[in-house]
Amino acid sequence: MLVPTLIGVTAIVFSLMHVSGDPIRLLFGPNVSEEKVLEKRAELGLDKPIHVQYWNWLTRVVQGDLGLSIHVQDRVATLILARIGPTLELTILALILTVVIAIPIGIISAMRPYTIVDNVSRFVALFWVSMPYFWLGIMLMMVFGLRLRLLPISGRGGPLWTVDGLRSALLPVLTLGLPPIALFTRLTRSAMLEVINEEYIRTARSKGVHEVIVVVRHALRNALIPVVTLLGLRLPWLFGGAVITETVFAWPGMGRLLVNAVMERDYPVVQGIVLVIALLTVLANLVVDFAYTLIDPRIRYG
Amino acid sequence: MKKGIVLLVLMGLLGVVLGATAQTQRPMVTAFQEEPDFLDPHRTTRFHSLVVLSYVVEPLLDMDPSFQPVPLLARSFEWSEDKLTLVFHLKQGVLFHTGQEMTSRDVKASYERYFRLSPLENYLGPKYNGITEIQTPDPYTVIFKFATPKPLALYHIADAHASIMPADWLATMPDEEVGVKGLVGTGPYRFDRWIRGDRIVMKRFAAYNHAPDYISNPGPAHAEELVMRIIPEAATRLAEILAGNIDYTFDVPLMGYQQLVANPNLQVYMAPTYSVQYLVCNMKRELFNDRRIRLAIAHAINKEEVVKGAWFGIAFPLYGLVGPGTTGYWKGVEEIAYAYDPEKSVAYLEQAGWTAVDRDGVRMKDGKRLELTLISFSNVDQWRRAAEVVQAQLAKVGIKVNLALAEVGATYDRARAADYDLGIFRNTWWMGEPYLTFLTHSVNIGSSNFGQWKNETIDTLLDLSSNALDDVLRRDAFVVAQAIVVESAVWIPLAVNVNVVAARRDVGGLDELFSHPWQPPLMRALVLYKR
Repeated sequence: MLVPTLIGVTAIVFSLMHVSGDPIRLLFGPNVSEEKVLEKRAELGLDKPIHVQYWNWLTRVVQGDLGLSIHVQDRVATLILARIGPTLELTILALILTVVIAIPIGIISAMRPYTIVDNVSRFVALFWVSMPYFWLGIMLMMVFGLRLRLLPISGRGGPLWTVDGLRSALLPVLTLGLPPIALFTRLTRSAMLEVINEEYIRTARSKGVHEVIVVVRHALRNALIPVVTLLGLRLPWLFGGAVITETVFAWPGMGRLLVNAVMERDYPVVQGIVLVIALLTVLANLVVDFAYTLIDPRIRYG
Repeated sequence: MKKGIVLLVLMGLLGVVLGATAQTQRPMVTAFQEEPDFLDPHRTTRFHSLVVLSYVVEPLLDMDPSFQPVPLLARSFEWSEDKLTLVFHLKQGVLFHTGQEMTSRDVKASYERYFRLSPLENYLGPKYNGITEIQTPDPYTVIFKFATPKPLALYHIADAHASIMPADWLATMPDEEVGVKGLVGTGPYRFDRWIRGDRIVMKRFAAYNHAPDYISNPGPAHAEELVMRIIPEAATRLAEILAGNIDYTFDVPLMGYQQLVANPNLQVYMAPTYSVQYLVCNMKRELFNDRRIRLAIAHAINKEEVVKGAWFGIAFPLYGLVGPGTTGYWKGVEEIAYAYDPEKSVAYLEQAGWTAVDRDGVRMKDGKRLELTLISFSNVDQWRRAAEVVQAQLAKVGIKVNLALAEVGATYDRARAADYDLGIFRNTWWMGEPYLTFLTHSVNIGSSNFGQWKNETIDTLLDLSSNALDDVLRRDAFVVAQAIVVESAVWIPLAVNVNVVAARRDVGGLDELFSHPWQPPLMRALVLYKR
C-alpha cells in the first residue's frame, strides 16, 4: 500500500498547488516583464502540461532526486535534511512529554475514579487541551521568556544535547506537547477502567499480586492498545502543530519551510516535504503495528 | 534518602538549564521578518535579499543623501561628449573577501553576468540598446560603450543588483550556487554562514576602508560579528525587541509601536521610505471609463483615516504615486491630489446618474447597484485593514465594496487576469522613473500596470523621462507624468510606508543613519555601533 499511498498523496497535492499562483511571478515580483517570466518558466519546465510536470517530478524522485527549489535555488533534499532534524526534535520530545504526563494521570484517574484526584487531573488535562497552540506558545513566551527571563524567547540555541539547545527547545516542546495531554489522559483512563474490572485482574489481586504489578503488567498492557494506536495517528497532527509552533518560536524546522513553500508555490519543496511526511506517517504506523506485538504477544502478523 | 538525592540532582540540572546564560561577548544582532530567497545580487528580486547582500557586495556607485550617484568602488567617472562612452576609474587597493584585489576584469565579468541573468535588468544591457561593449584597457579602467544614450545609467549602476564579484570566483561557481553556497564581495562584512530559517551570520571585513565620503566611517565596520535573525512572527519579534535581545531592527511590528516608544531601554526612529500603497481602478471595467466615477472614489477616500486605521498612524498619507523617498519625487502632487470631500464625491456620482439609493444605502442606476469587487492581499495585516477602511469609506457615499482578499499568489493571478474592479497594491523601488514606468506605462499592462490603462501621453512622458538627453526636459517630463497620473484618478495613492527602527539604548549611529532618506544597508553596516 505504501507506493500507491505516496503516489496518490503527491499527485493530489501537486494538482492542488497548481490551482492558483504562479511561482515565477511570485519569485520575480510585479516589476519583471512578461518576456522574462516566460523565459524562466520554460527554463524550469513549468510551461509544460501539469501531468507532464508531475511525471517528470516522479521519474526524478524514483532516481533519488527531489529537484531544485524554485524559490531559494537550493537542492530540495538539502533543504529538507537541514530542517527535518529540528522538527523531529520538537515532535518526538512533545510526544514523549504527552505520554509521560498523560498515561500516569490516566492510570491514577482510573484507579481512583470520581475522587478529587480524578477530578483535578481531568481538569488539568482539559485546561491544556482548550488552549490553541498559537495562544499557548505566545503566553509561555511572554511569561518565561519576557517576564521571568528564564528561557530564550525564540530561536534554536543549538543541538538538543547542548544546554543552549535544551533551553531553547523547552517552550516549543511544552507548547506542542501540553494540549494533547487531555486526549491521552481520557483515553488511558477509559481503557484502564474497562480492563480493571476484568476477571483476570480480580484473579491476580485475589492471588495477592502487588497492586503495582497488577496495574502495570496486567491492566496497563491491555489498556495500551488503543493508546498506542492513537499515538501513531497523532504524528501528522504533530506536524500540523509544529507548523504553528515553529512560526511562533522562529524554530528553523520543516513546518515553516512547508508554509513558505506553499506561499511561494515552490512545487518541488512542497512535494518533497509531503513525501517525507507521508513516509514518516507510514513508518510511524509500522512502528505501532510492531508495538502491538510487544504489548500483546497474542498479536501476530503473517 | 535515595529519593532525596535524585530530587536534588534533578533540581540542580533544572537550575543549570534555566540559569545558564551566554558569557561571551554578544555580536550585533538584528532581526528580519522575511528570510532572503538567495543572496545573488544579479538574480534576486527580493527586497530583504537585497538588504542582506548589500552588507557583502557593492556596486561601482552609491547614492548619497541628495539622491546623487557618488563613487563607491569607482574613484571617478566621465561621460564622452556624445554620451555613448562612460569611463570608470576604479579605486586601487580595494580587496575582495578572498584577499584578491578588485580590478576591471571583475567589473566586466560581473556586468556580463548581470546582463545575462538579472530579471530586473531592462535598461542598461545590450538587449535594451544600452552597454554593448565593455573594455578594460588596464586593471583600473573600465569603459562602457553604449549603443544609444542612457541618461539614467548612473542610477542603474548605483543599484546593488549590479554589484561586483570576483571574476575567478564566479568562474568556479555554477550560477545557481552564487548566494546560496556562498557570496564574495568587497563589502564591510563577509558572509560566514546561513542557517536556513534561523539566522545569517557575517564577520567584519577588517580590510574594508573605501566607504563614500558621505559616511563618517570609511571602514572597517564597528561590530566584529553581525547576526541577522529570521523571526517571522510579529509578536515574537516584539517580545525579542522588548527583552533587549535584538540590537536593532527595521522590521518593527507596528502593533507594538507605542509599547516600544514607551520603553526607556529602547530608542525608536522613523522616516518615510520608498514603499508606497495605492488603490487602483481597473480601466478594463466599462464603469471606470466615466471619469466622474473615478473622481467620486478619489474624493471619498480619507488618506489620514487609512493611515490611522491600517497602519496605526505609523505611515504617511501619499499624494502622488511616487513617494517622497524616491528619486524624482515632485512635491507639487500634494497641491493637486484630490482632497477628502464626500459631498463632492456624492455630487459626481449623481452627475453620473447614480441617483437612486436602495434600502441598504447602495446607489443604483437603471436598476443596477453600484457594487464593486476589491482585491488585495490577506496575508499582510496592513493591506487587509486598508481594504476594510476603504470599504467603509466608499460605503458612506453609497458604493458597496465586496472584499476579495487572498494570499499573494492568488491575488496576483486575479490582478493579471484583470478580474477585479478595485485593487490595493504596493510597490517598492527607489528610482522614480523605472518605478512609475512599472506602474503606469502601457507596456506593463498584464504585469505591473494594474490600472490596465493605456494612456499615450503618460507613455510618451515616461519614455522621455528615461531617455531624453536634456536633463531639464527629462525632469519636466517626469513631473508632468506624475501630475497626469494623479489627475487621472485611475491610481489613488494611499500611504507611504515608514522605516521604523527600534534599537537598544546602547546602539549608536542612528542619527547619522537617519540623515539619509532611505538608511541604506551600507550605512547600517558602517555607522551603527554598540557603546
